[in-house]
Amino acid sequence: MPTELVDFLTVLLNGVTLAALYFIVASGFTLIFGLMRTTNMAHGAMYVLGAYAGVSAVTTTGDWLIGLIAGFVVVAVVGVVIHLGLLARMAGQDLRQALVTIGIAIIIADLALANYGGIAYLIPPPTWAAGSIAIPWVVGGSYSAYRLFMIVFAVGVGAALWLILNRTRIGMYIRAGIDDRDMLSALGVNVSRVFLFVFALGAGLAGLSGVLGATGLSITPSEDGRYLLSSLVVVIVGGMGSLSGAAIGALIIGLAEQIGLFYAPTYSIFLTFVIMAGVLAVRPQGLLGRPA
Amino acid sequence: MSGLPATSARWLRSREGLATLALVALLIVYPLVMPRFWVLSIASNAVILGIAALSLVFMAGYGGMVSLAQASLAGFAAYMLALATLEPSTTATGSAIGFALPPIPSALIALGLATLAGAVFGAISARSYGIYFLMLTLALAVGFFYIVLQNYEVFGGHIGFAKILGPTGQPRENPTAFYFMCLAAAALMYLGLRYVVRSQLGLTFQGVRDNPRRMKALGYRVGLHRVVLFAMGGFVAGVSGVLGAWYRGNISPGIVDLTRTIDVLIIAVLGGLGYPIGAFVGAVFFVLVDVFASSVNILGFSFDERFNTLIGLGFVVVVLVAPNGLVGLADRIWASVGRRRGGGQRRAIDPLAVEAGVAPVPEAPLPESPGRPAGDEPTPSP
Repeated sequence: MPTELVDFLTVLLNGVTLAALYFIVASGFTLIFGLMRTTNMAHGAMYVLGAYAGVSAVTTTGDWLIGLIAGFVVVAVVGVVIHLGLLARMAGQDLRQALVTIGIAIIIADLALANYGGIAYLIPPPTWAAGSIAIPWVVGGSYSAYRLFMIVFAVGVGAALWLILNRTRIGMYIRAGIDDRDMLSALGVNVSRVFLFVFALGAGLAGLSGVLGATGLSITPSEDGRYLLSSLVVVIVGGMGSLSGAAIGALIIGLAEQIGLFYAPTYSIFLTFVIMAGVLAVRPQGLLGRPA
Repeated sequence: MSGLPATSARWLRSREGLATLALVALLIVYPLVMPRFWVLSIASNAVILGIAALSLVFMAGYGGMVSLAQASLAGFAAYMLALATLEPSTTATGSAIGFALPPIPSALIALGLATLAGAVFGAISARSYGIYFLMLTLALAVGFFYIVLQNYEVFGGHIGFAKILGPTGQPRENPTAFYFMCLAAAALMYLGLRYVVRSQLGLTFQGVRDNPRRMKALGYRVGLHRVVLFAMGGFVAGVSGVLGAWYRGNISPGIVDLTRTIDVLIIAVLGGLGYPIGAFVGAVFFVLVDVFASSVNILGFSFDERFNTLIGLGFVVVVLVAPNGLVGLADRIWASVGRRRGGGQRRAIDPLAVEAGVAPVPEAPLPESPGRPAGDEPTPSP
């Protein structure tokens, strides 16, 4: 196979693995936004928090899976506290909620810096996903097993979320709530409890992806901006509140970022923004979003 | 527009006029009696940050557009200033562009380009409202940060530019001149925006803010007005960026990072998003906290290194208890203490509650409009 093609296929695979991570981060963001109209500006900070919870758990227990669970649980609990303590008190005031979560993001990022310092941490991948798998059509003839696992994991998360949304009672409430919150409440459903569940789930997904990202890519306290940006761009392109939109958006942005990085390294971000501006010009609500 | 001498004289004798006179006198005497640190690091710095926040307050208050791209537009102006004013770099890590122009023409070019950049940002985001607009401008802001960080050919990468000299030379050598330049720019921006807000264009902006659909039905080009508003915001932010570049003498991606983006928002919210003067009140407060956070000690917890935690906590508290910021708080206290003449005259708009066509429209939020010739264009009825 010609080297150009091998390069290109490797870049594509890198893009898909990055998209896998972006999808998991953005799915939490878009779930929260879709149901509650709450823009969680602390989503990037929650990613960082989850990553550090994972770092601490893995260094004390040595078990990667416990780290993954710790990242989910710690951030879900923090999410519950934030939701009950602050956001639920200002339901419906979406800009004010966004501002409060910005304040929270600043505090989380600063405390992460205080506790873990500015150095980068890397969680070692679990033994069953260490090493690499032979793939003839990529550079070097093999590819990181962990990064392939990330793709599988993202598909699993997507499937699980789809099942929750489409095959369970709470999922039915969530879908109904996205369509008409007031009507759902009038039908006797405890909407605030559904909100709490969704916020905890969305926050937990941010924390979970933090652990995944810290394993594949390393973590520093300043990563929060990067993942907030990726979540924003992914849901802006894919459509706010849509899970499949998040998947498509993540794929587009992940691929664009890797292709840009390989072929025009100092302009790669441009490509992402040209795509975003282009999508907005044609469909202001995003590819799969519904008009506001 | 108190153009008549009689009204001016009456205004000067009013309480508001006296307070304004006292403030102007204080601002003029200030650099003559204060040490250099207070003139530069506190006052000039606060004025520069205040202008950036003013651009946000203007857009949020009169267009309902809470933009997080103002620090980026300021930074863009700073970068354009550097490119215009410096010589091209010969090293591989510097910018290959440079025109070696004198400071003032460079600044004018930078401001023109910042206005243009504002229009481009506006064109991208004009069709988004409320929270979508906020997210989109945040995405643009963070994206711009990564562009300047990644790009060496134009923006000098993570190193940026150094040795940018303003018309007053090194601020450290002539702090008073630099202070007055900043103050004059701030006064110009403040009065200029005040003029725009009271003009026909300003009223149209507010109509677009309150009910874009109705304005569209009346024949106004809603999208174009939002683009123009964003361009004007870009100009004002650009002034802040140019002054900031002269103040520091060097620029790096740090001036457009997420922290700086959020700082501008914090300052505007701290002062009060509905009050233009709040931008400067918030900026003074912010700078004082920034400088003196190290000596704050609450319940044994020192904020020496944790300035951001302090700012974050303060920000959350302000959003929770004083949604109209410090000026709004002062206004409320003032209103409840004394009988207010012309009650509600200075009532702030609450940009946080305004969401195009959805939220209830705040009644008559504006400073009194000047006598306009009757029956020219349809005015947006509240």
